[in-house]
Order: sequence, then C-alpha cells, then structure tokens
Amino acid sequence: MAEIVTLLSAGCHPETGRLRPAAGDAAALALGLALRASGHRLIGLHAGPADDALRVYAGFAEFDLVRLNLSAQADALPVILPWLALRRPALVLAGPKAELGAGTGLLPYALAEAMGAACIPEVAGVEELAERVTLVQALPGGRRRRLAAPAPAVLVAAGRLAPPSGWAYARAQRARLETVPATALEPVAATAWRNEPARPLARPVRRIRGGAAARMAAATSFTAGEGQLLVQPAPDEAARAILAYLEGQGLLRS
Amino acid sequence: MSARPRRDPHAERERATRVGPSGRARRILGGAVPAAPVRPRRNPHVLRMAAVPGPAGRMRLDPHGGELLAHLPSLATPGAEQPIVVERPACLILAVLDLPGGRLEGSDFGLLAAARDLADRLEGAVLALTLHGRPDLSRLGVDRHIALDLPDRWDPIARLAVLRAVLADQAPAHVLFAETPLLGADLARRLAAATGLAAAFAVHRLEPEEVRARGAGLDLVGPPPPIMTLHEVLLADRPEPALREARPVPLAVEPDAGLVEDLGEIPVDLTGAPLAEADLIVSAGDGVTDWPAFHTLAARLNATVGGSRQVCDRGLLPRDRQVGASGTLVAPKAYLAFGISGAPQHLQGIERCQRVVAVNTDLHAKMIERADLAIVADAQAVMPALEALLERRRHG
Repeated sequence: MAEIVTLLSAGCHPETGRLRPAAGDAAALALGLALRASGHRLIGLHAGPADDALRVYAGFAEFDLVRLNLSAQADALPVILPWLALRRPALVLAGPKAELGAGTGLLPYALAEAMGAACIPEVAGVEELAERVTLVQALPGGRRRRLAAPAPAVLVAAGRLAPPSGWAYARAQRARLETVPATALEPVAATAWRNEPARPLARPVRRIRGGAAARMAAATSFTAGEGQLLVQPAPDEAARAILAYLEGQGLLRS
Repeated sequence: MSARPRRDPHAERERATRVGPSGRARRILGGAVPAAPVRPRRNPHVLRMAAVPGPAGRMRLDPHGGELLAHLPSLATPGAEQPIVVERPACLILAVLDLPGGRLEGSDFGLLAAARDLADRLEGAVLALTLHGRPDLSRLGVDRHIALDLPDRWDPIARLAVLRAVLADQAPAHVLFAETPLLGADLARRLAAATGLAAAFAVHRLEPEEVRARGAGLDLVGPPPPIMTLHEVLLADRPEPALREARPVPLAVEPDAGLVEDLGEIPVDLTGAPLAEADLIVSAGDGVTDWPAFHTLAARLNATVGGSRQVCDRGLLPRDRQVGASGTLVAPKAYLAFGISGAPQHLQGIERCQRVVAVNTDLHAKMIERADLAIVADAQAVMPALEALLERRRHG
C-alpha cells in the first residue's frame, strides 16, 4: 500500500488569533484519512518550531506525525523537499493557503515543480490510488470534474471541503510526535517586501471615469434591469423567452 | 478795401457737410467726398459660424481660415472614430483573461481595467491573452491581443507552455491574473513556480511604485513584481470604452499534452447545493402554489433551489434555502424568480446576481423592475410550460 504525506501548517483563528488546525490543511487531512481507511499509510508533516501546531491535528485521528524542526521564519520548502525525496510518497496533500504569514498558496506548486509531479488544486475527493491517481475536482457553482494523473502527485484540497469529523482533546494530548532535526538555510538577502497589518478592505466598486460630469450622470441616472418585459404572454411563449435567454447566457447544462 | 475775400465760415461749414453712410451729418475737411467707409466693418459672427467639430467632438474655431484644422486627422473622415494606437510602448502589461466557459466575465473586465490603468501610468501597452476563443477586446482598453483556441479540457500544462512562450516572445514587464480558483490563481502560481519570478498574490492596491498584496492576516507591501494576481476588490471595475487597436499578435506554440488527464464533468445534483456558491438559482415566492412543478423544473434545469422569507417561514422550503438579507446573499450567473414580488430584503440578497429573470402576476412589483427578463404571468402556467419545453429539447 502506498504512502501519503499530508502537509500540516500552524493554523490561526481569524478572530481570536489562537492556535487551531488550519481549515485548508484539515480539509487535506480529511482526504488523507479517507485514503487511510482504504489501507494506505498516512503521515502528517509539519515544518516549524513547536509541537503544539502539529498536536492539534492529532485530535482528529491517530496517525503518524513528523515535525521538521525549523524556525518560524525559515523557508519550509528546502527542508521538506529532501525529506520527501527520502520517503518517496505516492501522494502529497496540502491545504490551499497558510493561515499565518504570507499565505500565498505557492508551496504546493513549487513542491510539485521540484518533484516533477503534477499539482492539482481544488481537489474534493480521491477515488483511486495506484499507478495513477483518479480524483474529483471541485468546480465553481458546486459542479465536479474527474481527473487522472500519474502517481507521485501533489493535491491541494478544495477550501470549502469539510474537516474530518470528531476532534478529541485527549487524543491530541496523547499523540506522539517524531521530531527530525533540520538545518534551515540562511534566508537570502532581505527582500523588498515588508509586512504591514491587514486592514479591512473596501467594498469592490466600479470606478467612474471621465470626470465630474460622468460621476454626476452615474449618480443621478437609475438603471434597473435593462431588459425585456413580456406582459401576459401565452405560457409557451414565456417559456421560450426564458429558455432562449438562459441559452444565450450559456447557462443550460442539461 | 482788401482784395482778400471775406470768408463766411457758416456757409463753408454748410457746404462741407454731407450725410455720411450711416445717415449722420459729417463735415468733410478738404472738400473731397469719401466714396466708402475707410475701414470695412468686420462681422464677428463669421468665425464662430465657420467652426467645425474637432477630434474630440468639440467645436473648434480656426482664426487662420481652416488652415490649422485641415491637418487634424479626424477631420479627414468626419464621423468615423479612430482607434487609439500605442506605437512604441515603454513596456507591455500582459493580462491573462479567464474567459470561463469561453465568455467574458466580470473578473475579466476588472483585470483589463487594472491592466489599462497600470499601462497608462507606465506609458505602456496592454497585451491581452485569451486561451479559449477570440472575443472583441477593442473597447476594453486592449492594445495587443494574442488569441488562441486551446482544447476545452482542463490542461494546466498546456496553458503554462503557452504562457512561457508569450513571456519569451513579448517580454512583458508585468503579468496580471485574476485571483480566481482554477483559472487565474492556478496559472499564476504555476508560472511563478516554473519560472522562479517574483510574484504577489491577491493584490488589492496596484500602483506603479508600490503594490499591496493580502497575505494571511497581513499585507505584503513592495514594488510591483513581474507576476501579480488581483484581489476581488479590484475586479469590479470596468475599462473605459474608448476604441483601441487590439492588434492581433501571432504566436506559434504547439503545447503538448500534460500529465493530467481530464475525464470530464461528473453529473451532480445541484438542487440542494449551497446557495452561496450556486451559479443558477430557481427561487420561489408566495406566488408559487404548484410545488411539484417547481421542484420538477429545478431538477430539470439542475438549478439550485432558493426561496423567499415567506416561503421558508411557512416551512415550504428549509431555512437554508432562504435568499435575502436574513438568509443567504447569493451571486449566481442567473436567478429565476417565480412568484416573488421583491421585498427590499430580498433584493438586497440578489444584489450581486448577474442576470435576473422574474415571473410575477403584478406588473408593478419591484422584482419586475429589477429583472433583465420580466414576464408578467402566472408562475403556475409558466413553470410546466418551461419544463415541457426543456423535456422536448432534451429529446430532440
């Protein structure tokens, strides 16, 4: 049976700022636990300075947990890569974005690029894992698509996926973690980027271009629906109008 | 007696006085009668009457008798709008459009508006890349356009290969994507990982000197990197509808099949899907009494079921189906409202819907006013008719 590594990062509750299982990584763990139920081996991997960040995930189920000892500021990728090269897992699972730090969501892509594997985002389920992995991808609007990729693959869980059910504090405390010492590389010369606290963003608005006259016109003219009005049509005619409208918008799926 | 004749100044003045051209009495010294006024009078209205429309459509005066205006380009063919041409741009801004389902969506307009703004401030040109189809982008602020027709299946490797070819060919200063899952967000990260170029994701403030990207609880601030994805707050914008060149740029690339194989969409029953992410919603209000017909129609369209507050209050639909201020704020591509009059709270809930179709018996209902396709009829008659029509269409 194959080995599956799921990447687990330190989560942060958006309101309280307390440590928690990151929502995206918990979704990835749910995929991994579903595969473990069909006989595969699951390893949770965390690169960071503290056991606690990894321990919260142990509350979901009992599985192997490995922590690569690394400072919080160090880049995780150069440390994860050699570890993965030794284990040669069939599947690497990850969440879409970290809840601390830059949260770019770039790590799975960089990992796949370095491993020469396929990276597949928005994964909602894994159907089969052998030489090839068959999986289900979540599309916008609740639709689903089936994909297949050769076996060492990096899968990024869909953000909306539910975390594994049942979290137990005692199980999290009981869990035994394996700590692997890691040598972090010196960060390259300070980048041009600086961090600032995030402020709430304004609502998305459409900018009115063309000066004061255009702004005045936009503020004073009221445009409601700009379409057709059919008054007391025959039911068939009304139905045809609706159908033609939906077809024109490319919204008919059946 | 003196030889000198005595002058009679009164008679002299009398003789020298003539009636001038304006009718007033004038005394002419020297005895010569003027034939015409000395200086011809100038008509001040002539200049204004000779004004002609200039390139910007405003009336222009030419004090040099049409000499200046003859050189203006638009006067050669009055009426025909000339596209704005950027011949030697300082840099290229590549905008990679999403085109979900092969059509321009809101995120594409926002992306092009942001690219246009950045290009204007850098005195550059906007290069648009469309991978599926060739929509007309000339009124969307696009100077150059690369259009490709990749196969419809999801193949990120082929898209990445095209993008790398464009980067090698055109060398754009910045590549902009929309932060849309599976489309712009995915492709931008692939490009950043493959090329190792600096990237900023979810940029919510885009200036030539400084960009702000939203991280996890913090903002990353720095100079604009080569690869950027735009946060949704920037994507509600639309570019100015000025006519631009949108010059087609050829691109020779033969993307080979990647590792991932697309096995096609899986049929999923979407009638009970979460309302917030649905892209087609069929919604019922108090005007619906034939519930079997409503649910049959929703199943036939494979649309997500929604309802007004009244309907959910009476237990005719579960509470999680409620659309409106106290239910779910929905943003589907199309919203079909049967028998909904449009309470303000409901209209708030459908504020972000792209298209609204309303069927209601009341011509003066707010919903009819809001709708893009409004039908004043009984929902009980229209629902079965639409269902029958869909059934006929399905069986040819």
